[in-house]
Amino acid sequence: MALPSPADPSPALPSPADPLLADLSQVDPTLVTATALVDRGRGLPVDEVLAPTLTALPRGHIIACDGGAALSLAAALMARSTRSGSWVAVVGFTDLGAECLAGLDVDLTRLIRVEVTSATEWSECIAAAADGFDIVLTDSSAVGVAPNVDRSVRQRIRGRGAVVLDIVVPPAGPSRHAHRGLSSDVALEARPLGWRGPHRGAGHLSGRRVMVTAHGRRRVRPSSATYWMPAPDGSITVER
Amino acid sequence: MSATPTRQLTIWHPVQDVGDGLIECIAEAVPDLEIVTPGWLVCRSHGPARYFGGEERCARYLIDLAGDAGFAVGVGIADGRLAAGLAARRSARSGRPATPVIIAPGGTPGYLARHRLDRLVELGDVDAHLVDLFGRLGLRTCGDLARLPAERILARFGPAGRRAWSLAAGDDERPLLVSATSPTFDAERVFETPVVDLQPIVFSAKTLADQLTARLDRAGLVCRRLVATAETDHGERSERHWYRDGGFDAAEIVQRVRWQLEGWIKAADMTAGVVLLRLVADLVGPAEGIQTSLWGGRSRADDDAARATARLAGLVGHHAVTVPVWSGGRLPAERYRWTPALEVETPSVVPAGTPWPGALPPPAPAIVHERPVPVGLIDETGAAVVVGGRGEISSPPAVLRLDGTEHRLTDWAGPWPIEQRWWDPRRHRRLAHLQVVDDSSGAWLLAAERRRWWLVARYL
Repeated sequence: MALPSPADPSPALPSPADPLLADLSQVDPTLVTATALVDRGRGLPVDEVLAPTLTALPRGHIIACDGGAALSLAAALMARSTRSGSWVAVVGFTDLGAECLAGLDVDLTRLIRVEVTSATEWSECIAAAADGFDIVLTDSSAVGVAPNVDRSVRQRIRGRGAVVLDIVVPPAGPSRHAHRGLSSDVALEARPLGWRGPHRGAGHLSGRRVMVTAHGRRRVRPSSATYWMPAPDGSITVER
Repeated sequence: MSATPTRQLTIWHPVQDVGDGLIECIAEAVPDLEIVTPGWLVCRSHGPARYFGGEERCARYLIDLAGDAGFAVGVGIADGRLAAGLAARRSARSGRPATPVIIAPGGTPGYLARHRLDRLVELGDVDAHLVDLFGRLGLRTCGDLARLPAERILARFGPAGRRAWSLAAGDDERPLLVSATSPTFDAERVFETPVVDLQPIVFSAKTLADQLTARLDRAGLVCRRLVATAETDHGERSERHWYRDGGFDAAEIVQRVRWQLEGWIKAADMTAGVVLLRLVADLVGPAEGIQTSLWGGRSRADDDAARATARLAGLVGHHAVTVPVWSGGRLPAERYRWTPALEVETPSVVPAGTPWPGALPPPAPAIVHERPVPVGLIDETGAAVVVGGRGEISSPPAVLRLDGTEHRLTDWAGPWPIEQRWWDPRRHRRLAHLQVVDDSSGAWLLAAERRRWWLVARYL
């Protein structure tokens, strides 16, 4: 049993908008703040602007992101950690736009991409990636995950405490059946509300409003926040 | 500084991470032991040699002492740290019990001269890229490097090169010291309630290490010898001198403290909780700058990632494990090239703030199709939308047909014509980009080329 040090500055109140902390604090009452999560090495830091959605990426957990702005949300969530020394492995996501990630402040010098050609390769690579990388980005529903694979992946990521960001790419057409993906601990939906910029040929895409809704496993009511992701100046801002 | 070099005695065990046992055993006989790793211990040979009646006798005694405790070590004595380390390594390989390797005073430069500069990487914490660079300039052995004037090396390669020179020339037992009037660099933490759990102490060590390295950093220095002390409520004490030629960063300090505490706990020498943790940078040197090479990283996370990358490459092939390398260009697919990770030496940094002429304005799309997908684009009347010769669109696009689905479009921007490589008849391309937005605010980047529409990218 660990004794807390007297000078610990973390505030005592839980953040109500963070569904994951609400879930986790039911399991471990000392994990009431993101500061506690990060400081104890149990979570990876997330940019403060996204606090209404997630205040930290909890190690050993799977966060599913879907909706028309899913990948941008995932990039935004992992950006701060990559700048603090965490590495990202992108598994099976071959058409990833590196420049988009860079624009959302992901450190590209700590990112590698792994191409896989079968479901077996995918699960082997996820396991290998979880052993050495803090963050693994993938889209499991493009591959299809059987229950036993789901179990073994979860076990593997708990080992080193990797975070899996599982993007569900909305299908471009009905012919692309979404397979069953990994089970997730937190489900985030990033729904685009509208773009600013184009006007019947003139202008160009410049800013997008996105509503991000977070569903935790034990939460009754999901929480939502609206962001510019990105704003016309390239940043991410919360819309009040 | 004295003209006579101080003799260094090094004890070397073939397994670097051999646990605390060897340290415990040797520390009984030798005070002021410096630990580089648990299997690599250094001290001044002067005192022990006098006590045991000569360097050879002293070395043999230590070999036997360690042998009795179950550690087959080698011992080397020489004027410089690097030479002593090499000698100890050679000694460790000389059989059981090992024969000590003693380099006579003044004999160090000669002894080192024929050793390859690669040894500086393993035994001297010199950056592998620097040694590689030396190699490409024709300097392969320590002798080659030592023959050049030190100031020239300093001017050309900076403090890191100068340190490598000192090591190669055998001049390294007196690293450049800060003058006596400078402030001492220390950090300590008192625990009001004794702590019995390892984790909070390690966490405090991290805070102290960060404070210490930040202060050193501001002074342009690194800590080369660290004295880490922990005390319990009952006055029990663990104090160790850790040495690292290349200097410690915060993570390495925390790692040493963790080793030290784990060893202390395992030896079960504490009967109460820890009330004090103190870190003192006892020996400092000029900072050489942080390496940013991909695979020569300084943090544990970098090492873990490098290992996992090698393993992944083994699973799917080297060509399938890639990193994004900035390449510029006007087409989204050209901006970054995914290059095999194991072929990239240093990560390429994008020059900020210089927009590429003719490139699409930001934001960049999240998905960029390496092989564009053919799509249909039609207007309100059902006619195909066409881009004319002067880059103008024939009619407002209303529906995007993609993969069997129809997306109703609410707005668009463009088209922007691009001509690629007009001078090369084989690779000449004319295309026009168009951004479209659908009724669920999905956004797509299309290109009209060869009289067809293609899906180039998606703003996901």
